[in-house]
Amino acid sequence: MTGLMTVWKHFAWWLLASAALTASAGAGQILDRMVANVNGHIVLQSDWEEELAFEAFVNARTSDSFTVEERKAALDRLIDQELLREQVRPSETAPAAEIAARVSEVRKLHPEGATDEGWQSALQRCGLTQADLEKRLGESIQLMRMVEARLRPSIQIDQKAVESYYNEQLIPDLKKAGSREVTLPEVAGHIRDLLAEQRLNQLLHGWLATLHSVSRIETPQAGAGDQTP
Amino acid sequence: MRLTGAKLALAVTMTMTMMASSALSHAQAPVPPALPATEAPSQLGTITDYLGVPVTEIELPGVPAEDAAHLLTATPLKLGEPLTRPALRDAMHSLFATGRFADIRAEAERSAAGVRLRFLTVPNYFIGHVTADGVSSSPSSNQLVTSSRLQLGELYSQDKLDQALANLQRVLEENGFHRSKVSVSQQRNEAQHQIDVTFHVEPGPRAAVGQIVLEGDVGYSKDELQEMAKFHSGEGVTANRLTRALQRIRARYQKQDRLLAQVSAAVRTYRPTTNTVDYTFKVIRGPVVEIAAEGFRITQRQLRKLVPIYEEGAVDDDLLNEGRRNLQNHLQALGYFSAAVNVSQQGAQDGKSLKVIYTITPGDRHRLTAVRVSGNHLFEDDLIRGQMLSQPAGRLFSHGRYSDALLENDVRNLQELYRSAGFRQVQVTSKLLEKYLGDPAQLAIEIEIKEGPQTRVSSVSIEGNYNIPTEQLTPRLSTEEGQGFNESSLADDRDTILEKYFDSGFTNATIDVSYVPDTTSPPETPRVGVVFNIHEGEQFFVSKVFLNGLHYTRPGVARREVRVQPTAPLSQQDMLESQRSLYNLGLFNEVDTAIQNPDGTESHKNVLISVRETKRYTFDYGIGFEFQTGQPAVGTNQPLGQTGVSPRVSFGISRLNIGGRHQTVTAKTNLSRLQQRGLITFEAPKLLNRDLNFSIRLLYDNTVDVSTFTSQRTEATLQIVQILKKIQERELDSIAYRFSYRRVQASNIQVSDNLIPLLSKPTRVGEPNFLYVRNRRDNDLETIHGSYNTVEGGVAASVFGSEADFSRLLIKNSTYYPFLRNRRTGTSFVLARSTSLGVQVPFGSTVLLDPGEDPTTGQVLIPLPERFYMGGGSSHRGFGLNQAGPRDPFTGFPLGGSALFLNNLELRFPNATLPYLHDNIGFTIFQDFGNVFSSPRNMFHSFGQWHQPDPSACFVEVGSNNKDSKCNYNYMSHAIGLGVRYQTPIGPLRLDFGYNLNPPFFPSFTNIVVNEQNGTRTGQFGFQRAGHFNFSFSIGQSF
Repeated sequence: MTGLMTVWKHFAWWLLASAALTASAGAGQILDRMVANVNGHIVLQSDWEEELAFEAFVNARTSDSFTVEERKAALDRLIDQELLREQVRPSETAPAAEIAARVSEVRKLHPEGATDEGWQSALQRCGLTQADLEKRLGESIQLMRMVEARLRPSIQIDQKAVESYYNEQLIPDLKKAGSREVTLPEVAGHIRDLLAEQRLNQLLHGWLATLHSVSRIETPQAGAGDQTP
Repeated sequence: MRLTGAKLALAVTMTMTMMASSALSHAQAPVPPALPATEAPSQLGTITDYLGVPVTEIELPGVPAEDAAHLLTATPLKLGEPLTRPALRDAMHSLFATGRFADIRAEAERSAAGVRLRFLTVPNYFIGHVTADGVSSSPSSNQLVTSSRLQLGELYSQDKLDQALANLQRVLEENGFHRSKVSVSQQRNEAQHQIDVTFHVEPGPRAAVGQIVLEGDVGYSKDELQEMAKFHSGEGVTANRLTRALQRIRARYQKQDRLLAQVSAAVRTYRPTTNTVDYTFKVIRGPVVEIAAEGFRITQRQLRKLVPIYEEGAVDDDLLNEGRRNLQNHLQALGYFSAAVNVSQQGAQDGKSLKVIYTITPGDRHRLTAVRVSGNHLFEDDLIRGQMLSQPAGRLFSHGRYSDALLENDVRNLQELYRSAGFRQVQVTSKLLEKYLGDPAQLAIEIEIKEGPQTRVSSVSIEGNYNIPTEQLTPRLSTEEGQGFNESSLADDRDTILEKYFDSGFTNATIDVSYVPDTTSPPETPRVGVVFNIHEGEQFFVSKVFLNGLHYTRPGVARREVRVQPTAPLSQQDMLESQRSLYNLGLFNEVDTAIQNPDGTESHKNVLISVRETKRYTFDYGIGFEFQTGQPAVGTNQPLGQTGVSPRVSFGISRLNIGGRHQTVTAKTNLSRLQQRGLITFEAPKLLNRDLNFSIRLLYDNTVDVSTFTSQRTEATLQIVQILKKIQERELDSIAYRFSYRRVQASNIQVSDNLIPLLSKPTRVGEPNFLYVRNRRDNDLETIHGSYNTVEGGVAASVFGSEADFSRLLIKNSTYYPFLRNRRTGTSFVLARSTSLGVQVPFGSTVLLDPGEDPTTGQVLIPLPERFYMGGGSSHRGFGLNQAGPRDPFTGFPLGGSALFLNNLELRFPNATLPYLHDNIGFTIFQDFGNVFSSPRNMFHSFGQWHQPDPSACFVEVGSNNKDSKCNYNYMSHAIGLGVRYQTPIGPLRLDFGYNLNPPFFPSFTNIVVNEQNGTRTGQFGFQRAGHFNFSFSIGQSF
């Protein structure tokens, strides 16, 4: 009952806030609005839309091919990025060569990327410029490095874990697929990397879960119908 | 292959650029309800129509125009400039980052000349005044407010309120109010963007302690433990009672040397049917801890003192190591300079005991006889020795203090001392001289200092100060071009500059100090340039000041004390000053100051001041006693009074905040054997809002502080105290203007019969007077240096309604000189002197009479209670209380006088460090001389008179009842003495023993018989002498 009351209070709060906004709204067209508040940092609808356009472009998709869940997931990722940025501000910019390599990978996904004109045209269609793309890819690289630097040192994979994965996971899978058996020394390094990356993922999830639990994250409920881009 | 796929998956998560869904994010982040994609209109395109169109108008509806202007200035949007997507986005980010809004959206409308932008916002609200009602104590209202954790000025949210309610409920339950109900009312203040919160508590009945269950190896029965903890079934539940109970149980175990004992209330179960709380006390007694020292004899008492595990009631590595260091220091103080101490623990197998063993290898015993310093020019030997931990044998360390580690540390410290003074090439070396002066037991240390050249400051520059001109910063700096380079001065200068910046609203300012070697200077005279590089950060200003919590107090009274002003730079110092000034009013028991929306980026901040008014009625009571020689003994014929204790009780009631102003009425009574006093005072400390303290005082006083009579005084006084000089709330110069109108009467008078009718007559005294105070003491309670002067004067005359005409002047001058300062401890000897000179001059029909002299018709005497008296712990310590001066030739009782001279001289020793008393005990030796005289003329003639003139005249009866006695008291009476002082927070407890070198003889009749018919008295002539020995006990220094 108390829980219901609390939910109702929250809902009433946002209802009031929305009513206040609606009451003060004029006859003009809405250009932009807040879609999330992360510890006092705002995520705008235009940020969300640009994120979707960017994701669509680097995945060689169109924006309107995204499902509602995929759109919401994009907003969640924007919130996660903000939470991570609050923890550690990236101090070094991403190396230009690494950014160029990523741009090149994305370009290969687009058939129009074969020519400069086609590439620029594809970018323009998604509302992006070459500089926008490089900036966003650079930020992604920075964030990834920062997370790596924070979490990687705490990861230790021992030989027992490698052997366990080899015997219990890899060999049965290879047998099932009818592939050639490989010896442990052949794949030990790969398995170690894989396990380390799995652990990194777990740690990142855990870290984000902690950040979410101690953060103030608000996404206005009212007007949700016209909020999802 | 799987491995490659996994890596890619990781990259996807890390970079968040792909569409892999995050189950975590879905679970954690509150998201809008899912809607079909077709229902989601894209907003990105909307702005396209307006891009590049000039902005003609920007509005912030609902935000006051002044605030809106400040907020919009900080955005990149400018009127007349074309609208761009980044500018709009940055503007929205910037507006939101101010923290003023809970939601924001941007709206556009075409106008004739361009585009009209409108930012629609939902305002944020911030936490304002928080109160709680319905409770009195355990928990108090303040405890509940604190437990709510609602911080003044911070962003309000429903979550915080829910958490606050949960906290309150928890605190109430901890105090037994399990049936309490808490509701909350909120008052939204739109103008202040603030929500005042009031918690209404219906506590219900307090739960009682129910059953107590013991768990673990307790070692006591339940009854014993309850008795020990003073925690019984049926008693009311309070958090304090439980905490104290647990502390008592722990203390009992600690007394048994079970230092690792753990006691907790592991389970608390509330029984709603009986409204009781059952407790399960979990006890782990732990082993009995014993300490032992091996290799050197140290008593158990010393061990317990040196090893702090008993004092702290715990055993851990830190405490054991501290004990090891203390033991090592102890041995070094005994001369075992190379002593080594190791610690180990031995636990019994059954876990019932634990032995802590300190193994000591004392080594040879030596005495450090001397510490010789050479090569030092800048610092004196004493200063250098004062910096060293190695100490030669002396009062504190009978064998001195030395070890290799200490000496190494000393060398490092001395090098640092010189380097911080600019001697960057200094070399300090030490040498231990064994068999010093040919004695194998003696050591000496030689410290050799090669100072090298002193680096001087070649230039001082300040960079990065864009908002505060260099001319305003430079005069504050102590570092100047050409002076010796000193790092501590530079640190002070940096703090000085920062302070200026903080006071000017640059709350995030930082300063880097860098030193640039001057390469043009020769090596023998190195120079360095000093650069203060300032990073100013953003400047913040005060927008508005909101003062909340006033119910009875007039707003103007509080506002006058507020130093923070709108539009001024936001200064933390001003906020602190405001808080201090409001506290000083005495009207508030809590004053909170805060910045509203502290995390927001807006440059103009609202400052919040929330006060909680103190109770307007206060009651106080006290019990005390007076203890000294010469106390008047009512109803006895003892002219010298008697030694004794006089108990004293007092009761007072005050009503603050009269009429909502800073005004107070106080009624106070004092009752003791020697004094019955009733006093009503009205006080307005800020008359006309200036430093004028106005008061009206009504007094009834019945005092026997002079053995000769009982003084009855009814008095009304009007007083205005003007503060002439004040530094940091400390009053240095003041003058009080007073008009006193009083009726004085002496009764139970012990004087010759001829004077009784005149002296026992009630007399009205109307007297305007003044008191000037000049206080230059460093510390009023324990003065080390400075001076204190007072001048008091008044005229009682018939034009003021007085029946006795006389003027009065009393001057007092006290000075304090410290000398032989100990640099290490900071203590010093103090030579304190106080000289008082007072005269009363009668005029009109009021006259002065010598003892025994007959008054003539129409003559008026200065009433006995108005005269000067001397003697006792606060004046002449060679006399009992008010026993100095002329005496009645028949009764021998003191008559007081019209002139007074007193000189007190005191040598105050630095406090001595004694066992148990630490350094709280101080000693003084003193010499007092002076007396009270029947007239100013007699006083001035007596300055060279060191003995009572012709004391033999006091041994013979002259005239009827010795009326014509020639016994003379015109001389300076001397006393020497010893005082002991014990320091307390309210001043030293003082015990003085005075020995009067030349106490007066005086005639005194005994076996007095009263003639029933005419009331005259006769008796047997004799004489007495005032006692040599006197003592007094009181609080505070004598002057």
